[in-house]
Amino acid sequence: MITFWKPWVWRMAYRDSRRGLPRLLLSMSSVVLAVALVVLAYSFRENLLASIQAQSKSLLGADLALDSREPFSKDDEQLFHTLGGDQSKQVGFTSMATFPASGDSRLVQVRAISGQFPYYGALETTPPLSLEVFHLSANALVDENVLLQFNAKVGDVVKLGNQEFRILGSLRKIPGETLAFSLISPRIYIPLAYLERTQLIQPGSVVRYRVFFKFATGTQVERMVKAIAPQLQRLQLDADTVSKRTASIAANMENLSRFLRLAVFVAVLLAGVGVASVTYVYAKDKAQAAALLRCIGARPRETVSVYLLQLLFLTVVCAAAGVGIGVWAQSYLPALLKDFLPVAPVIEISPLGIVAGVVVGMTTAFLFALLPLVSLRRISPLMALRSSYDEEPRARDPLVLSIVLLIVMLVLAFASATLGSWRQGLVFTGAVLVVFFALAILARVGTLLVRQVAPRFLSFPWRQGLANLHRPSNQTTAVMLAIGLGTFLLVALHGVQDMLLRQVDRRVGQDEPNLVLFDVQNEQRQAIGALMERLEISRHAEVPVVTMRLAAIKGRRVEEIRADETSKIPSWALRREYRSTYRGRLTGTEKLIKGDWVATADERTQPIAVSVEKGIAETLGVDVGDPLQFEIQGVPIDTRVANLREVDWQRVQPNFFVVFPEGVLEKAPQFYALVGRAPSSQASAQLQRAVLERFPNVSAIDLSLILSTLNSVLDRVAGAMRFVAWFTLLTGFTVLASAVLGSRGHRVRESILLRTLGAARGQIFTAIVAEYVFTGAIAACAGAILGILAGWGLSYYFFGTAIAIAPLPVLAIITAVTATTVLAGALGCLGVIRRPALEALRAEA
Amino acid sequence: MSTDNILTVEHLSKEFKSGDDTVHVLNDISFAIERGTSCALVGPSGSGKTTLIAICAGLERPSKGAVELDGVALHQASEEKLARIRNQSIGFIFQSFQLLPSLTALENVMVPAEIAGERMVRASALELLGRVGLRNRMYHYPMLLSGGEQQRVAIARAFMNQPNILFADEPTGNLDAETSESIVKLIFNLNSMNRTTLILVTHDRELTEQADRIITLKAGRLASDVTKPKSEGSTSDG
Ligand SMILES: Nc1ncnc2c1ncn2[C@@H]1O[C@H](COP(=O)(O)OP(=O)(O)OP(=O)(O)O)[C@@H](O)[C@H]1O
Ligand SMILES: [Mg+2]
Repeated sequence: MITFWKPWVWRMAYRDSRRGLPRLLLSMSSVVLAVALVVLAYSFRENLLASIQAQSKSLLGADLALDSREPFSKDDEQLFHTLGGDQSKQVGFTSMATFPASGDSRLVQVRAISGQFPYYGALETTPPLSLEVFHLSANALVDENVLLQFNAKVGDVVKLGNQEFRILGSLRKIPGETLAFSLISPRIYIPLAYLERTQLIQPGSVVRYRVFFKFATGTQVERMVKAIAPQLQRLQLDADTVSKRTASIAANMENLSRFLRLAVFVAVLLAGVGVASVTYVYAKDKAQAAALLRCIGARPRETVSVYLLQLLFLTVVCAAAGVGIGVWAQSYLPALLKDFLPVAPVIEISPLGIVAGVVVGMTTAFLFALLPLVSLRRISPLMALRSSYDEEPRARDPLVLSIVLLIVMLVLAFASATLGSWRQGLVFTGAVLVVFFALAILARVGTLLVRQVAPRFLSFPWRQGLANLHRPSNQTTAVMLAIGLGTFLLVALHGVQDMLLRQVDRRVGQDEPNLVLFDVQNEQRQAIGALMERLEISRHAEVPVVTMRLAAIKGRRVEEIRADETSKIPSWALRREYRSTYRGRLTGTEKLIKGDWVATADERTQPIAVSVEKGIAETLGVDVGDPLQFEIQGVPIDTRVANLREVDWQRVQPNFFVVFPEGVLEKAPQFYALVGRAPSSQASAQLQRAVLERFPNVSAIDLSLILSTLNSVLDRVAGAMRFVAWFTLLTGFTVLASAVLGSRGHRVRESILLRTLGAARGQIFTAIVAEYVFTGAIAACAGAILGILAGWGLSYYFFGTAIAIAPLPVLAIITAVTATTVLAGALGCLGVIRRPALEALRAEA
Repeated sequence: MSTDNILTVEHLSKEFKSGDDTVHVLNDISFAIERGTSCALVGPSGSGKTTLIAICAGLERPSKGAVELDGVALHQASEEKLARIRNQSIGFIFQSFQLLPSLTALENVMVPAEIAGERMVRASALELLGRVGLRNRMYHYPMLLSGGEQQRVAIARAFMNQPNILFADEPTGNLDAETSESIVKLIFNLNSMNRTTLILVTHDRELTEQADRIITLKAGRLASDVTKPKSEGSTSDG
């Protein structure tokens, strides 16, 4: 089909391109952007992974960390002693932090540290931290976000339990942890020596004890850990090594970069559509010349090769420019994603990124250009004889079909390779195809509708603008697709964020609880109840909570499962503290989906029938009937999964993975969660303040905290994704720009014709504006409709209901996109109406 | 009669199907053209002239019948072979000139030889341009040439590969009378100089007069076929 080895093909391609090429090059600018994006995404991944490797020690801050759920025992300390090296300790738990200046408080993660930790990397704070000063008195390092939230500053006081701490610095970055995480669970560091004074650690509290080691350089940490594995198992200590930590962080970052690469790929496909569209117009332009060449003896494939060669050359130029821009821009990407990165990546030129950009960009451009170009090989030489020769409708070109198929297969292969699974690749490819087709159809239908309805109300220039949508060189479909896709992403993003927030807000309707107090001791119940009454906070429930550990699944010890590398059960599910409750019935937010509910049981007749939440059952790989063994403060208790429950996690209520029947846990050490509804967020804050003053061990979560946390997390996530949406829009506008350039000739002739017919320049300009108003508005509306539908779909999938999306921001997006389209389009056409008629005729003929 | 025929057409028919209708454009046409002669093809618009020469030049396939050009059965030849014949043995002149707008005059003339894979083609192209009187315009693009000049470039191009037969479909159709005359002269001069066979579609009476033979088509049938008696002077040896 292609013949590049004939010299005349090269000569012809060169000569034919001397004049039109610069403009064609401009119209292929979407390829430049696409290549730049691919280079960016792949270089980013390379740099990030390389930086994670290079800074791996600072991800853990030490050579080795050992973890325990219990305070370190004599045996533990003995082991630490034999391991040697420099050691630091850390005690971590969740608690309320109060800012006495304002009286505000919120749930935070407290980390009490001793020694020289971190040994590698540093806690980044403002002002810069001196560990010596820090350990000297009751100091605290507080997450920047918390300080912002409560309007507190360095030098202020924060209260944890019974102890006040002076804020020594605001924490900006903790090695190996991302900022996004700190939004959900902000951290406060205090010196370990002052932990006791808080009196926050009490029997039953969930506390994690850690010891960090720094060994002499050259120590074989992995080998050491292997050697002491049996001891670690016996002492129930978990080891965290640099390589383990690095692997898990690298895996997380790989996920982030996957998302980025796929998003970029959507822009690449869009650029491909742009190329196909530009080439389509180009092929139309060249049909006559191709027919002539055929007439004087050129073979069909030689004719195609002439024009393909030109496009290949353009693609190479575009790829080179794209690589340049991508390499230049890559130092800016980490700043955009910094909230999600555990390390600041060192930016270097990545050969792999460049190769990926060139290969992906050029393959896409080449295949999409081929699509319209191969039709040139079917051009009949007769077309040279009959100028008005109209191509008769022919049977579908099998070659075009095979190219389309090839493109789809390549998309599938790329997506599958990126996602690491054929099924997900298929879903991605399907989704892309559906969105592309739906957009194209919506845009088509929209145009038809407007054409049906609008002319009756419109003046001449507006009708003319509308009619121009059908000018073939306008590439209306490609332009609308590109603009529509950008709008789609923006609206879908906004929709999901909006709906998530409103969904949560709404769920907590009129009578639903909106406040939970955790860790209430038995003897504190009465006093807190009285406080609630005084503040007119209704008490919905008092839920007992018993903390336990998982000891065995289906007869297999948890330690054994964790040591087994083939096991698919994630470590967190095995290690976590299960905070379970007991009761005789289901609550309103639960639904039995399998098995039978057991209301009561007897402690002596084990195994005890328990109810397990569906999700955790899947994670642990258990089903109804399977045995589970728990341990409550070292006492084993055998259970059997009696049923699976579905839990609505969106409510402000304590929810449980495991629910025991009545009659078993009543005597176990336990505390309570008090569930209530405050009439206002002020009342809720007031209660929290009063409770904390008397009972600092109590933690509180209320609706406003959940909403603000959710909002800030969503803001960051959406921020990163919006960047992708903007890039898609940008690609869209480059497609638009190329369409504007491509249609110049037609536009000039048309404007001259109109002027000879007596149209004023103003009218012609209005027609051009009108054309882009219609293009932009129809595309944006199509994108918005699809975006709203996608938002609904996601909402329905995740919450089971779909609710209305606030219309104002959607309208704002549509308006902005339309305005930009008009601006870009009209600017590109300014020259057209300024040109004197005769000169224009000559130059563009 | 010696049978050095360059082109033989036998029982040629052509029909187009459009939907359920069939249009019979050419019906059972037979004739033969002797090498080195010129022949005018005339007839009212729509009578099938363009269709006939398209078939004779291997641009279109007949529905029925046989076409033999220079000993090659065109109706059976492969696309590949047709392309080679068009390049090597046939020259074309069109009503609408059909120059490649992105190429200079000289380059336009060179194209057929380059397609053939020949190397040093510039000199002969220049010479041809000189013959049509446009040597000084060789670097100009078609846009800057008048209609008559464009057609002269096209004529030079048609002779580039020294074809055995030249087809011209209304070569003066888009030109004024005066220009037409000079174009006609040029075609016949070059034709006799190169001993090319010429097949010419035209409505132009004067042009018709200069041909050795006049074939008239009417509604797809051969209406008349008149060969002029050979006058001594018309077969030039220059
Ligand atoms: N591809 C086609 N499909 C259907 N009909 C065709 C096709 N090509 C030509 N015709 C018909 O064949 C008939 C002859 O066309 P042709 O162009 O050969 O006539 P012509 O003698 O060259 O006319 P003119 O002097 O106007 O150029 C016309 O009626 C035309 O409509
Ligand atoms: Mg004709």
